[in-house]
Amino acid sequence: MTELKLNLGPQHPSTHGVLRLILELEGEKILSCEPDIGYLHRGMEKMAEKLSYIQYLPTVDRIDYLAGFFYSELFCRTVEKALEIELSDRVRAIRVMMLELNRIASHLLWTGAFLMDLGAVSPFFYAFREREMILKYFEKITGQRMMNNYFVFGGVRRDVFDLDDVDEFLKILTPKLKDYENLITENPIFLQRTKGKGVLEPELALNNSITGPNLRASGVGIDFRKNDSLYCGFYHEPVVLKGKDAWARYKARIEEMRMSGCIVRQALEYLRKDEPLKQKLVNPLKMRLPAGEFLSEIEAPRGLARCYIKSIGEDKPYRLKWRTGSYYAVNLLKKLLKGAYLNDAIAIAGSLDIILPEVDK
Amino acid sequence: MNVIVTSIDYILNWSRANSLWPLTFATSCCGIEMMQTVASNNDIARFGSEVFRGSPRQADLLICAGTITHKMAPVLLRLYEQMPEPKYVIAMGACTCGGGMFAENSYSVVRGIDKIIPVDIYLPMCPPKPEALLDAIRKLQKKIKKESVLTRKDFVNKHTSNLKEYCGLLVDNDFNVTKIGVEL
Amino acid sequence: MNITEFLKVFEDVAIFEDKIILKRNLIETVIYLRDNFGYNVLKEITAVENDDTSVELNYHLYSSTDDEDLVLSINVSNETESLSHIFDSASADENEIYDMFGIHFIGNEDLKRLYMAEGWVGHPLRKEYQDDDERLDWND
Repeated sequence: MTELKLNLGPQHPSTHGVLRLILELEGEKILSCEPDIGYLHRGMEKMAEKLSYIQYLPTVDRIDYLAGFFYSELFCRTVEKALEIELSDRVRAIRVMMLELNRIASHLLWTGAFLMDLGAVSPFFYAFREREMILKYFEKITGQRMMNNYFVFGGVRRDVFDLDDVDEFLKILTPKLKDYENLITENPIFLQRTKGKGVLEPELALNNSITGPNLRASGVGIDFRKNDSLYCGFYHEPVVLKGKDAWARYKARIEEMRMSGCIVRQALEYLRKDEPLKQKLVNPLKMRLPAGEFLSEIEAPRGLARCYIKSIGEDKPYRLKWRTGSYYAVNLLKKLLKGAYLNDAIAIAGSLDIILPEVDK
Repeated sequence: MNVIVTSIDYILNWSRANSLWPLTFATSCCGIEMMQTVASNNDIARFGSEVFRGSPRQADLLICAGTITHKMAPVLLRLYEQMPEPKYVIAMGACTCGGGMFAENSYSVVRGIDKIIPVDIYLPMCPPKPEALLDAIRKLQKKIKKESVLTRKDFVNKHTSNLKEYCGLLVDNDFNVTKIGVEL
Repeated sequence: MNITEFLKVFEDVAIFEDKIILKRNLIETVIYLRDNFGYNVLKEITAVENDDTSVELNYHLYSSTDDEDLVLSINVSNETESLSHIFDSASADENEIYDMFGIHFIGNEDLKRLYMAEGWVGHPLRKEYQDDDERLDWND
C-alpha cells in the first residue's frame, strides 16, 4: 500500500473558510491529520488594547460573521456588567428576537453548505431563499444585511417596527422545515454518507471542551441559556439527541431551528404591546470602566462563547480575550479523523460547523 | 491592419466578457455575500458566470472576497499565477481595497491586495450588497469590451514591474514565490 | 464546592475575589478536583501580562454535573508544566499562549507557532512588542 501526504489546501470550494489539513494517507484511509490554522489571523485581541470601547464595538461583529449579533451582545453584556446597568423588558425582548432570528439564519446556511459539500446542490438554493427574508428584515431595521452594529451599551440603537414581516416569516418557517426534512432526513444517499460516521463519545467531547449542538447530539444536555438573565421569562428547552454521529448533529440543528422559531413568536407577542422604549444609554466618550476583571458568556450557534476584559480604569481595555466554540472543534479533528476514509473526512469536518474567523480571531 | 485587428477584437472581447467563470476564493465575510449572489434571488448565472470552478487552471476571474493576511499572501499569489491568460481580478470588499477597518492597528493584514496582484475593478463596502457585486461585474464587462489584443500585455507587464519593487520579500526576479513563511 | 474541605488538603493557596491562587502543585490540584468534586471540563486558559513582565495564567474549570465554575490562577515567568495529558483541550490553549506570549509548556509535544507565519520574530501580545517590522512593506 502506498503512503501519500495530501494537502487539503487553504483554498477549497467550501464554506468553512481557509482551513488547511495536512493528511497522511495509506491507500484511502487516513493515518493522521494535522490542521494548520492562522491564515485569517487579523490580530483582534491586540487591536482592542489601542481602541476605546465604543471604537471597538463595530469590529466585534466580524468575529463570527454568521452570528454577528451574538458577539456584539456578548461584548455589550460584559461592559454592562462592569458598569452595573440593568436592561428594561422591552430592550430584552428586542435583543432576544434579533438573536434567535440570527440563530435561524446561521443554521439555515449550515444546512445548505453541508449538503453542498456532500454533493446535493438543491438545498443550497432553498436555504438561501429563506435566509433572504431574514436579511431583508435586518436591513429595514438596522441598515445593513450582515454585521449590523445594532446593540449599544445599555440598549439598542432604535426601536423595531413593521413586525408583520417577522410574522410572515414565521408562518412559512414550519412548512419549509417540513419540506427540508422530507427531502433530506430519510434520503438513502444521505443516510449512507452520514450515519455512523464521526462518532463523538460524551467523555471525549467533555474532555475536549466541546459545547453547543455538537455536545447535545451526543446525549449531554448542557445549554447555557438556562442561567442567562436575558432569556428570563421566555420558555425554551435544550434539544438532546442520542445518536452521536453526523446525522444526529444535523437533526439537532433542525430541531434547534424549530425551538428558536418558538422563542421568536413569544418575543413578538410581547413586542406587539407597543410600550415606549426606555433605555439608559451611557455617554461613550466619557465612559471609563472601573478597575478589575469581568467575564461573561453566551450560548452562540457554534458553542459557548466568552469574553474576558481586564481594565485598569482607563477608557481602553488592558487585556481582552475571546473564547469561541470552533477553536476546540478544529482541535478535535485530530482525533476524529484517524482511521476514517477520505470522503468521510469531508462529511465529518462539515458536520462540526467550523467557521474560521472564530478559530483565528 | 487596424481594421482586421478591430474586427478580431470585437469578437474576442464579446465572447470573453459574456462568459466569465469565477474561482471559489472566499476567505472571510464577503464570501457569504458572494454566495448570496449565486443563490436564486440575485442570480449571477444570468450574467454569464454559469458555474464557479474549484481549480484555478479552469477559471478566468478571481473575485478576491475577504481579508488577506501575511500568511495567506503567498497562497494568493500562487493561485493568481496558476490561472491561464486572459484573467481578470475584482477586489471585493473594503479589506481588499485598502485594508478596511484593520488598516490602522493590525499587525498582520495586507493593506490592499493591489500590492500583490494587478486589480481591474475595486468594489468598496463592508460587505457589498449582492446588487453591488452584479454592478461590478457589469463594469468589468464594459471594460473588457473596450480593450485590444495589442495592449493587454502592456497593462499586465506595467503592473508586474511595479510589484517587483514593492514586495521584494515575496517575489524574486523571475517572479517566483520565495519561501518566506509558509511551505506550500 | 466546600472550600474548607479543599483547603485542608492543599496548603499554599490563597483566595482572592473568587479566584484560587496557587503557588505550586498545579497538576495534583487539578487531578484532585476532577476526581473528588467532578470538575471535568476545562473551559479556557487565559493569560494576562503583569507590570513586571510575569504572566498570570487563569484556568477556568467547570463541572458538567453540578453546573459550577472555578478559577485557578498561577504566576509564571518563562516556563511551566503542561496539562495536555489530563485535558485534551489544554494543548490547543497552550499553543496559542506560546505563540502570543512566549511561555514554554514542558510536556506538550507539539508546541509550535500557530497563528503567525514561520520565521516570525517576537510574541505579539506582549506589551513591549513593536510592530514596525521593516520586512513588511505594507504596514505604512
